[in-house]
Amino acid sequence: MFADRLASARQALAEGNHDQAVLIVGSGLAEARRRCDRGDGDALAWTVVLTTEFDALTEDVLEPAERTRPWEELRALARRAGAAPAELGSVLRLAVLHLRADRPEVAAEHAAAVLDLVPRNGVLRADGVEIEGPDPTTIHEVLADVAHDLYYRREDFDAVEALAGAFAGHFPDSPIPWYFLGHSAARLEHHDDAVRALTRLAELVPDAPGPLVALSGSLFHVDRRQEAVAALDQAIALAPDEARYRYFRARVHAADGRAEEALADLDDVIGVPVPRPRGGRPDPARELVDLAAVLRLNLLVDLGRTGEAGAEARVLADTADEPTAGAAYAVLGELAFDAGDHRRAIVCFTAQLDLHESAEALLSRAATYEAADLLDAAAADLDAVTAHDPDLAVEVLSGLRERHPTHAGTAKALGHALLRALDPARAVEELAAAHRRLPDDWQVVAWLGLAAITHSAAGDDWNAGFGSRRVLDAVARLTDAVLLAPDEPYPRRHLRWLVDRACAWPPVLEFLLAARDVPRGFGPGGADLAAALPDVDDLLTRWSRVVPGEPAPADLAALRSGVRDLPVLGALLDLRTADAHLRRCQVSEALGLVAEAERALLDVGRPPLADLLPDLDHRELVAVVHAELRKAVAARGSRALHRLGDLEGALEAADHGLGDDDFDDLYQRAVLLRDVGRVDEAVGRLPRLAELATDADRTRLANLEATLHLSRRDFDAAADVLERVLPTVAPDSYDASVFVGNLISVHLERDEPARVLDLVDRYPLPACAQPSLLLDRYAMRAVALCGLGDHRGAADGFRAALEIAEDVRAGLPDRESRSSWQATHLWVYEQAVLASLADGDLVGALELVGRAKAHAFPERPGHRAAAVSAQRLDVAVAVRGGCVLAEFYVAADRVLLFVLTPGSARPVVYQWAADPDELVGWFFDRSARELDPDAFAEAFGPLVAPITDHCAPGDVVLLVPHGELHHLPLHALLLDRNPVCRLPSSGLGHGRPGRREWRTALVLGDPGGDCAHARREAEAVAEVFGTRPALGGEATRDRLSDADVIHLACRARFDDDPAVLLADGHELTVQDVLGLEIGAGLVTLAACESGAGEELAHAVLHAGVPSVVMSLWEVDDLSTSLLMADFYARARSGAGLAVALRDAQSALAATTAREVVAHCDERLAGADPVTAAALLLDRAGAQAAAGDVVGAAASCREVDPVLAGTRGPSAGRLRARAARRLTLLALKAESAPPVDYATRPFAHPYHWAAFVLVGDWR
Amino acid sequence: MRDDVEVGQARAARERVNAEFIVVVTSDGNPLGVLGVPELAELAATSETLTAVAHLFPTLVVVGGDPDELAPDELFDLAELVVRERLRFVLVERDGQPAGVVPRAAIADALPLDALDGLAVRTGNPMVPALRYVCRKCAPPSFQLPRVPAEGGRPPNCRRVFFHGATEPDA
Repeated sequence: MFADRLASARQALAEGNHDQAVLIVGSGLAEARRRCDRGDGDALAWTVVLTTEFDALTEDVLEPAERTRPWEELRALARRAGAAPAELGSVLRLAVLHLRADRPEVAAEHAAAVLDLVPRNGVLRADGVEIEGPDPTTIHEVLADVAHDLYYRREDFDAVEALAGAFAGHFPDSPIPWYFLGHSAARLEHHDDAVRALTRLAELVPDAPGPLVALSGSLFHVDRRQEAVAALDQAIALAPDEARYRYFRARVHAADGRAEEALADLDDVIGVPVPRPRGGRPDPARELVDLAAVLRLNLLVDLGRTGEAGAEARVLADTADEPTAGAAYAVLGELAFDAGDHRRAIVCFTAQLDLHESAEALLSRAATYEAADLLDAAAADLDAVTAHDPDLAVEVLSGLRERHPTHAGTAKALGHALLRALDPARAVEELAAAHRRLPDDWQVVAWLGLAAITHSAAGDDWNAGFGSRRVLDAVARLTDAVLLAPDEPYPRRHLRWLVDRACAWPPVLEFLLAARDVPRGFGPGGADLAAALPDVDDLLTRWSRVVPGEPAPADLAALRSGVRDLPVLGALLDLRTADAHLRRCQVSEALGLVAEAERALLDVGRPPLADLLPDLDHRELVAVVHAELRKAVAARGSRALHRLGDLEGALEAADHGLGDDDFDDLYQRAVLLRDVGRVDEAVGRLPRLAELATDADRTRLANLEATLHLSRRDFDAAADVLERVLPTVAPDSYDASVFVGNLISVHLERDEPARVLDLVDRYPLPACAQPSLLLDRYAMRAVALCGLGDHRGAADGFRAALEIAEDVRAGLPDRESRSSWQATHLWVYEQAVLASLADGDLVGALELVGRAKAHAFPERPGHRAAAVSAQRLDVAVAVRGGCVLAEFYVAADRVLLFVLTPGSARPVVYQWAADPDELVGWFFDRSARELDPDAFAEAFGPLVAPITDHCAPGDVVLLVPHGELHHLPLHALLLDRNPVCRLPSSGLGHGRPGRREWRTALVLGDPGGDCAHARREAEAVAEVFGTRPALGGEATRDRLSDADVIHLACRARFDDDPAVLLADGHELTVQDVLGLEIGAGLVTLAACESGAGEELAHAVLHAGVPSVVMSLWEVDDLSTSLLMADFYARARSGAGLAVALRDAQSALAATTAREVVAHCDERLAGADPVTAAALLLDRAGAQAAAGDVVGAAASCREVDPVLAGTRGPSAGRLRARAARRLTLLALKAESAPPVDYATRPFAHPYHWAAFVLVGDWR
Repeated sequence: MRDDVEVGQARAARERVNAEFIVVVTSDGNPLGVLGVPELAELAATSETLTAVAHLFPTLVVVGGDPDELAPDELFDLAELVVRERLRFVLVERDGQPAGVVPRAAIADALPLDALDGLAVRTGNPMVPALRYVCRKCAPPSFQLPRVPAEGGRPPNCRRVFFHGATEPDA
């Protein structure tokens, strides 16, 4: 069976059907695996065959990493079956695939598994098949590839050594594993192993010199130098022209004391003629000759052949390249020194240093200077060694210091070296000794200062003693150094750097601010910072004047503007400025400054004289400054985010920087934990807070504890804390008001209203209390009164609270903060409404509903939203004139309907217990096109049914939706009985008497030039008014002018900043509209879903337009066009707007397919090609709706000829639509329904219910 | 039915349970094709496996089964594909498994007559193509309407032949 499959696959492949071949093998493989699982031993062999075939077939179409799965499965099967050859084959292939997939580690694991399995390799037999396990050559090749990749690409010598060791065990006669084993062992300095492996390698490739040279290196390292030489002898014998091997042998000879043999080899190397390279490019052969020449010089000196050495050195010094000449000068210097010619030796070492400065050359010259009794010069050279190797400098200078204990320069250099070697404690001793002899040496003074803040690598005691006193000492020393050497940049730069960083540490900053007033400065020398760094001192002076109060951001900004090259001080000022902004609720400004300050954290770790390297020499200072600055940044960032309401962000910021050692920091984190709901964690902080709290913190802590109990709804515990702490504070204090507020919450939760009133009486708020406290107190008292059944008192209390809320709101600077404030206090409005209702004050309840809604809409700059009472009068007048007011209010658990009827000032109230979200949620789960009218009527009919009890058919219903009800087409439920006009709020009726005659119109249509129907709609509307529409590029903003009607048939954008899109990239946003004085009596926003941008429509109302028509969802073009033309025609005939819209909607719903076809046919005559094509598609739509699939297809087929020769996006879209519709009609023709032209294509509310009238209904 | 079943066995199995369609899947569980009675009858070589005759299968269209209802635009898009490719049926998958076969007539029945090409509205581009992808490495090309975009908007891989890789948008 499997053989047949294989043959079939190969045949498919031969016929060029690769997919089929893969699928055949794949299905065969799946079957083979299944049989294996069932214990069919023969199937395993076929699994091997088919896996191999499958791998080969997919090699060109899949990446190696994608081809491992079949092999993994085979490996698992083989392992279960104990079939080692099959497992070996799969593992071997996996090693290859992982290597190709660039996963060398995984490949190495598989290579190791290969080696484990090799001993069990053999033959796999099955019925009719006999499969050999992998042949050794293949295994060897794969292992070599893996080792090669690990060695050369990964340089993972440990892995290579392990793999090659086992590899060599299995293939002892192959040089490859010994090569990798020997070289990896040598790289790992496992020289004994390397010697063994390289010896074996040399045996296996006796004609190759490379293994012998490598072997000699390892032999040398294990101190088998004779054998090393012997190996090199053999290598040289095999490659006599290879100079490198002779140089290597010379080095071995030299190291072993056989100078003459070494010289012989070196002569051979040097004797090879190699021209000096030009152009500076290194030449390995030349370099080898130079190295040999230098080695030869040193050997000649060792042999005492100084004359010869001197002569050759002089030649080299004159002719060789710089490093070689430098080495020659060193030899000449040593020869002169040994001859007692110090002057000559100094000249030679100086020449050497001129060519190439090195610690060795400096040491040589310093020794010569010392011998010549030139101690200052010797100390200077050794001081220069400090830059190369501080520890070496310390060692040598210590010797010099011992030999010359009274030499101040040596003490100074040793102190400097100790400082650079991170041993500041000893540095201070040496520098202090130097300072006694060199009191005016600015370097000594500066290094003494820096030592105070330098980290010690010598012991922890010094580091443990780091503190603000040491920092101040450093400031003082560096100040003195600046004054000793006013023109030296070194001390000034360090002092500036130190003061900038140290000011982040509060005790240092406080001291520096205070010390400015001390005559003669501070510190051991009476350091005068003002004289050393006048600009910094000036900054600190102004700081001490401005910062301690509550400065305005502008004052701090002025201070900040003078800060240059002081990143940390600048950041500290930024944070103070952020504080000032936070006090003013300017959170975004504060956050910007915090981010700016945070960037300075990167600067903290930069050392004074280098910008890129991290400052490790002053790590204690850096750590303190970094921690302080980070804490300051975190505290401000957290507070700002808290203000924004981003509690999680605030907590994250606090966790990032605030520690557990400061009461304020920990308190802030506990508050945040409480506010994000992690109350138990906040409670866990209380013991530590109690430890940290001072007496002044006790009341805050008690309040935190109480609020945590409140959050856990442990009211008894909260009451215990509050009642314990309340008597300890002054009754009229802020603390008392906070405690009382929380205690009131406890009593309300425990349903103890009488105790609430008692508390309120006993702890009256002072007249000057914060408005928010007063507001809460009024509201809480009102809730308690509700609990006692005193609904009138409660309503009065809520009203008093609302007066405060509205006053505060009016004073807030921007719309965002006003909205936020309003949202926070909606519950007070709701409770006030419910209390008024409970008190039977229905008029008052309705008035409160109006107030609650009045603030939900955009306001005109400079206008207060609530001229409520006056506007309500308008409504009251209106309801006397054949209208009924139906105002909805959606509370948390119920929907209220207030119906105000003509002649009655008292509304009738209905209410339904309902979750508003659930009530309307289903409506928003689907598009309006999918609305089921019956289900909609069933769900929402009860909400409008009571309205009909209070009005006659034909009366206008003034509908005031609320919340999500704004988005529902509730007017659709009243279509057959009453015209409906919406008011956004009964308190926001028509602002002024507007035009109610419809003689002139401004019509803008299709500004983008891409919407044929909008253009046609505009033309139809303009035709009603006998005017010319502004179409396409003419539909610009500056065309907006005075007219009775403004009709915008345009696209719109509905995002955070909704706008009508006009021509030339212009748009009309909410803010634009609020800024306009629009004289029209009616504005129609015939853009898609303009109702979804309620803000836009309400802005138009606020701009003084009495009536707006807008849509609730995306509207169909043809039906909109028909609706609008009919609506305006009816309005111009004298119908009120509400009646005109209702009648136009009824008429549209009743329009038959026949009438639509006739309408299209009528307009087709004389239409331009694009309009004609759109009309043909409309006609096709009506025909299709009537079931006339054949007629519809015929209309679609007319589109192409009509558009012949017409270009542009509109034409292209129409062609595409026609083609698509033809396709669909062709399918529909296979299941065609009966033809009925009495069908009403716009009967669905989607078509006619989209538009609503808002504002004045007349 | 697995693709290594012979054509004759497939016919017999279909007749035994009187199935309208059989869905042929590869060893990896990928759908290789859908065969109705006429398609099965046209496959002459009864002793061949279904894999061996897979190149004779009709075009495969795989439609994502979540959410359960097709939106009008999705239905129009599917209908357009059905007409263009002369399909008799499409395969519906849910959670990577065949969930059912929808015949052409059911799609024709479902087409709403009053909104045959969606609605000419003023926001967005009504001609924006739906999530429809084609694998041109398949013979004949296979199609997918996954319904839900993949992470990052990447086209899905071919569902029919695993190594064909990513499909391409069917413009």
